[in-house]
Amino acid sequence: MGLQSVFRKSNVVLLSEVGARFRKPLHRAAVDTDPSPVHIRFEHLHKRYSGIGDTVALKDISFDVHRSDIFGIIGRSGAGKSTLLRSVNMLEKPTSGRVSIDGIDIGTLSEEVLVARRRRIGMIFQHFNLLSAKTVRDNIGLPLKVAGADSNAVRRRVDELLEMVHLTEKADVYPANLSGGQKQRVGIARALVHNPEILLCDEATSALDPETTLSILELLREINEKLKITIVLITHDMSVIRAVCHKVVVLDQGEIVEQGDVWTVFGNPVAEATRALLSPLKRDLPDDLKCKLTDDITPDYPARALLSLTFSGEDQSDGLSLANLLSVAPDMRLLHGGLDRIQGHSQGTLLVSAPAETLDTPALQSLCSANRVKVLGYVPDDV
Amino acid sequence: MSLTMFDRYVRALNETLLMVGVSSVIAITCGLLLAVTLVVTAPGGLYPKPTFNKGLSIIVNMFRSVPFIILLVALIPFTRFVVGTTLGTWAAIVPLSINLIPFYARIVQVSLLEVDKGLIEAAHAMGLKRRHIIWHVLLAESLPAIIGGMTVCVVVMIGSSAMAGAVGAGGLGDLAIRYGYERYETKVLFDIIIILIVMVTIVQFTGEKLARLVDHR
Repeated sequence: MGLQSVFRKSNVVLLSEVGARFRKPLHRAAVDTDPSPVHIRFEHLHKRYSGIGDTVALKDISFDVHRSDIFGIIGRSGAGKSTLLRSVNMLEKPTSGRVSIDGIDIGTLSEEVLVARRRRIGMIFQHFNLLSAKTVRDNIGLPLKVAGADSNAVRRRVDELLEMVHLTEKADVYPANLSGGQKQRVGIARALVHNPEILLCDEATSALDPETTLSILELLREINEKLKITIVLITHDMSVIRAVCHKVVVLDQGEIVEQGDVWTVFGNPVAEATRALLSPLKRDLPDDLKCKLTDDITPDYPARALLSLTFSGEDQSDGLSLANLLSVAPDMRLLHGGLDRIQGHSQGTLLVSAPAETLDTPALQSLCSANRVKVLGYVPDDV
Repeated sequence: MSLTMFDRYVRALNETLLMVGVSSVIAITCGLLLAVTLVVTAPGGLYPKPTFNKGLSIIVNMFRSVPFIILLVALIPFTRFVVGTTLGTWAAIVPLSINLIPFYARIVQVSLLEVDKGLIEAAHAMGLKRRHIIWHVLLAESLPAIIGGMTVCVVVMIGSSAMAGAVGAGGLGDLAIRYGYERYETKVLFDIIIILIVMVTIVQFTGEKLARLVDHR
């Protein structure tokens, strides 16, 4: 099977040329290799850990992961996401239910077949899990070596991968001498050595600083685009989901509480767990405004209404016209907030103030029809 | 034909080196195998066999609770079966090895258990077979500790070999007892102590150096 075919020289160059552009493109190229879009299917998955105090890690989990998607599984710690991820390569066997890849129930495979199957499923880890006694080259080449590849082929393949993850000069270094980001790059190279069709990421960026996190996510996105690998990642960090995922499942206490396209889950979170996970990204009312906020207008003082404009992303593909906004409330001031563009949908909240007596709330409402305009209260004129 | 004192030293040293050398090789080889068996058959191990594991562990503890000098005597029938005699250097090698096998096995067992579970998980995930995991992960990752354990093992072996004089195995310890203690030749006693200190120092130094050499953590 052409190990080399996927990583030709041209591909490697292209991979490195994808710059700092971070959000995914609006339209993803359809994959035409397989008629069935479903790559991994979870059906009524249950997992119970028996022992001192029975704990149920997964309860009736069913969903599909489509081919070439970047699929996010998010949840707080203990939500069962790690168990769920490990059911894909049977590192954790479910108590009941099935996981099938391309329609094959992976739980029924014999050990020998499973070992072979795992070679087509790469996995990277939060703590990298590199072998300290082996050099970068030997770490990456090990899965090929034990599979019986000859040493020249291993060497060539490792060189390609080193080039892809930009670590060519670190080939003969031991992992202890690498930074966290470099270790994860080695982990990624090792996971790709068998040319897998699925890449599992277990909190792959949770031990990394924000800048390194971005570069690793960027690399994952490149891999997904160039190699059409289906990526399933778990994280507790919503910004990771926002940065790379197409689809997301929110797990809470072993159950799916929300799922769908990333932008819909971000724009209109329904479950309590989703809201809690999103809260670090939310821009709340700043304290100084909160102090000055009153419920009523004091007749003696000129006051301004404090409004929040919430964009759920459902229709703002062209953006909101500022001119229209100002025609409703000419003296409108932007105070706080921000919009994010997720999968082509602008979402977020803006805090604005406008003179209370001239404010035409219904007009404003109609202007941002699908979005929510809320009068939070009133603040003194100097805000 | 009377030997000079110097000749006695040389002969004793040779006997000690032979005993320690051969017994160490046997003890370390068998100890490693025993340690790996104990680790992989433990519950949650690569080849879990809880009952077998428990039994093996009890046997290891039994051997570990018998003092060497008693083991030396208790093993006489076995020694006769293996080497055909119960006297001399080769006869001492049998109990010396058997004494150290469980000792070294426990040392290695601890270091094998300290290998990060995440590494074993990662090895499974990349499609390594279980025997590959034993070799490339368990043993390779704990090599510094395995070598460190060898050092301890050889040092203990040098100490134990002194008691082998009880079965006529000779060696430095035997010389020290017979000349230094029983004949009140204090100089012999001190000479031998110094030789033993030098031997232990060399073993310790070499062991540490080797362990550092393979340690890339």
